[in-house]
Amino acid sequence: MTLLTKRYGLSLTHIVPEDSSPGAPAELHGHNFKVDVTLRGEPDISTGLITLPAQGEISARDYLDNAFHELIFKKFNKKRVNDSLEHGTGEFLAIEFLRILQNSLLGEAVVSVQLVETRKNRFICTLL
Amino acid sequence: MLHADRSMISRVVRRVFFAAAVEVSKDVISGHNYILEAHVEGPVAPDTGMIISIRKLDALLSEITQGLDHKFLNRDVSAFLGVVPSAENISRYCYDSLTLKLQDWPQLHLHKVRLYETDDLWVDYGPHIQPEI
Repeated sequence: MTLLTKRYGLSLTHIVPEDSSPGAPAELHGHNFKVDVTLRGEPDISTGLITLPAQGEISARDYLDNAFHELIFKKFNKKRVNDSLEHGTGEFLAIEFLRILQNSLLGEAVVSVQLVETRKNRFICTLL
Repeated sequence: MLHADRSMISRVVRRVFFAAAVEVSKDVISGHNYILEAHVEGPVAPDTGMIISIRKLDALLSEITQGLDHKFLNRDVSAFLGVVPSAENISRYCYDSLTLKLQDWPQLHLHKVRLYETDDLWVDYGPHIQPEI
């Protein structure tokens, strides 16, 4: 089994009410997130790269670069997460990013998304 | 005395480094500072407190990386004659090579290797690995 992971950067803002002190207003803040996307597959004999079965010789890593940029970066970068998701939490973002990428041509080749929010915390959503 | 119980599994992860040139896309030769991680699992020996001596593990890994370091893999390494030295294939090569070298330690299991091609791209290879949380 081969797992390939690529790391991307994303800057976004959010409000997480549960993180605020009791009675205090929830504060808008932001992070430079690192987003680690993991693909599962076997390398193609001729190219040596994990390829998308239905896409000929397009390498999954190249398609992932494009899909991440078009479907996630453009939608979320420098945006307020709470405007598009029910919760602006890292947990919700990881789930949403995995769902978005699995709905692309990558399909279930995408098996995991890890969102590194700070040096102290990260959120992972993995396909079982 | 501290003992691991049967529900526990112990793993040691060791990193080594090598630099190599590869031609993955036709007529495009690139160079990388690779980082190779070996994830070795096994019982913690009561007498040493270790799964395997780091010094020994380093020696085994060095035997592998010496054959790759400062080489043009497509040309200089027989395993990659006719095999594209992508990160996917290099990780598989390193896994198979280290598994062979660990045969003298039947209690050990090479869970996987992780090969970093850059800070932002890495490959895990092991026959039975799953995405980890």
